[in-house]
Amino acid sequence: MTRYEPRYPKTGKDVNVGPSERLLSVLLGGYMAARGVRKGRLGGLATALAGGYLVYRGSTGHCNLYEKIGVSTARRAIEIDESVIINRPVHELYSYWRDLGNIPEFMRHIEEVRVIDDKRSHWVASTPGGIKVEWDAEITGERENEYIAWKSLPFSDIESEGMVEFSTAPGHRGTELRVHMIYNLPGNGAAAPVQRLLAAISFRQIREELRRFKQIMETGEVPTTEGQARGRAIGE
Amino acid sequence: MKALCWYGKRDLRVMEVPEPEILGPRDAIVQVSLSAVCGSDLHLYNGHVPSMERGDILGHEFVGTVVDVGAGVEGFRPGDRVAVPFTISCGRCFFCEREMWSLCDNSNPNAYAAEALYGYSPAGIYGYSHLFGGYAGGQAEYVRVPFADSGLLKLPEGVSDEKAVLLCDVFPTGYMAAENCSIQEGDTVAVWGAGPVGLLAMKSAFLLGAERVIAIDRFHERLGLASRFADAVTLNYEDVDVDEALRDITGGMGPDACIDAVGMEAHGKGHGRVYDAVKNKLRAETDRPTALRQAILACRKGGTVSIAGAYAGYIDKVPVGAAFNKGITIKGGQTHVQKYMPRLLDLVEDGKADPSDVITHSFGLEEGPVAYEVFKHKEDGCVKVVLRP
Ligand SMILES: NC(=O)c1ccc[n+]([C@@H]2O[C@H](COP(=O)([O-])OP(=O)(O)OC[C@H]3O[C@@H](n4cnc5c(N)ncnc54)[C@H](O)[C@@H]3O)[C@@H](O)[C@H]2O)c1
Ligand SMILES: [Zn+2]
Ligand SMILES: [Zn+2]
Repeated sequence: MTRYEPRYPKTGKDVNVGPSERLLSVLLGGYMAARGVRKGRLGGLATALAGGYLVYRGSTGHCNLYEKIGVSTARRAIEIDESVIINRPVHELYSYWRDLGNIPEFMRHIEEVRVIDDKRSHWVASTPGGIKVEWDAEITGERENEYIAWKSLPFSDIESEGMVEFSTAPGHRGTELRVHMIYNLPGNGAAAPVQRLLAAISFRQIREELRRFKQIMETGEVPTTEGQARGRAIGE
Repeated sequence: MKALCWYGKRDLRVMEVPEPEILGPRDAIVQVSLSAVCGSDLHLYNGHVPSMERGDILGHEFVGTVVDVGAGVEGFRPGDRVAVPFTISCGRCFFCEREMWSLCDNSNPNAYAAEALYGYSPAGIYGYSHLFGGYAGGQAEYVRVPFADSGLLKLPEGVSDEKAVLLCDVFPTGYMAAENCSIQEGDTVAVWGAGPVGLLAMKSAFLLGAERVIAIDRFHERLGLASRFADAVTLNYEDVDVDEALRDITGGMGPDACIDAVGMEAHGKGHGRVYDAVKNKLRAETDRPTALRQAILACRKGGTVSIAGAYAGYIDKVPVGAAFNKGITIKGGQTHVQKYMPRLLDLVEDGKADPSDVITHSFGLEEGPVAYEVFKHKEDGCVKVVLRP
């Protein structure tokens, strides 16, 4: 007879990871662990370890790193998980995304990403009020054609963290892409433009950004009707 | 340039608007030489399709000459005579690669809105509301054609505009409706609606091997055309009980396949008509499925109901019990035009089919508003209207 195992066993530690992020941690962690172990090499082992940690973090709801830097996504500002299947091979999508300067092409709320060095980049987001919010981010983990993870550096205006994962979709459908993004108010409180930026970011917006990424990769452009001819009644 | 614009229910105006420009690398600009009015345009005209905006340029069936192409367009250049499929399709997504062109994943800039209504978004369509992308249509002097390198049909010299304009929508739509019936030897196919779509579905059913085709409508001229043009047995539903007649003609078995070439604005009689009218007014139902209900009830056991007529929203009192317990297959959808254009062009060139036989009226573009009225009321034996800019 099998016994029901609670999925998120209670621990003595505080829960500081939000529910969907926990699920993602478990899934992604399990995937990375399995994959890492299968590869067996050093890099693979690191992946397995990182994966194991993610499983821990997801199943306990506690993140040591979050604890250290004082983040709690359990009371997060914005957290988004989205996935999309794109009819292109993994390596094409990975290299387009890894060239971070391309990101504003499909993320309309990001005005510019300036690459500083191999790991670090400077991000500029425009807010609905027109004021810019800027931060530096670094790549915290990557594995060619598998995943890219990034995070804003401490003491930024905004705490932003993200991960994008690439895997070959079944049945010659191209690549399945999974994106996980968190935007957080910094621990020391946020300035008005940052709050405005956060208020403007939504699930739907991120979904549209991924759709644009898909459109660019599959068709070479983002379809639009902006600027097309239309009738106007006299006086309109 | 002049363009026929939608300004509200039964309010069309010919307007002077700016000429279209290339907006994307795979765009082309086509100078329209002939456009046509479709039964689908009537749904817009009568205010049945949501998300139309004042000033929208109508028209999704048009042929003409390429006058400009974007930097990314290969295979076409200014001077080429083309027929433009009404479905806008990228040619590179999961759906386009599998020939489901009307389901293209990438061509609807307002996909999020369609997703809210349909779960997932179909392809963009010219001049067919903002739910389908809000693209300016071709009932104009010029039109912008996105993804011009995917699916435009180059026209040989011998094929007239009149023949070609029916390859943009109606002939492929009738053909796909018949193909969806999986016609076998000896099959009887019943077609509700003897408009252009119905007539070409009848013709196609024979091309695909049907033994017998039955046309159902109430307009004498259209039924006459069904008999002359498509060799169909005709039933006027104002004179006969359609269900009984179909049973009788098919030796008590029912038609093997039933095509709904009527769609959301079916004309109704009796209880059903009153029911739909009340529900429509209360906004509890958006479409009127008289023909679809009849088709499901009339269809033989294990047969197919093929839906070519367009639906936009919700319908009520559809006999699902009959469909389920008779083991009926239901198929339908916007036409995968690009899939059928080349083979239908071959049929036209070989003289095996002349779809332009359904054209009864021709107007200048400036007379567009009149043309819609004539077509709407099927006045003066009107079956298919073309507009010349
Ligand atoms: N699937 C597609 O991609 C596609 C493409 C083009 C058109 N359409 C749709 O096909 C339908 C027909 O288009 P059309 O251009 O032939 O239009 P049309 O208006 O000329 O023809 C419709 C015909 O249906 C008849 N009709 C109405 N109620 C009926 C009923 N209860 N029983 C039998 N007949 C009835 C009318 O008398 C008319 O002759 C429309 O709904 C149109 O939107 C779909
Ligand atoms: Zn049409
Ligand atoms: Zn496509």
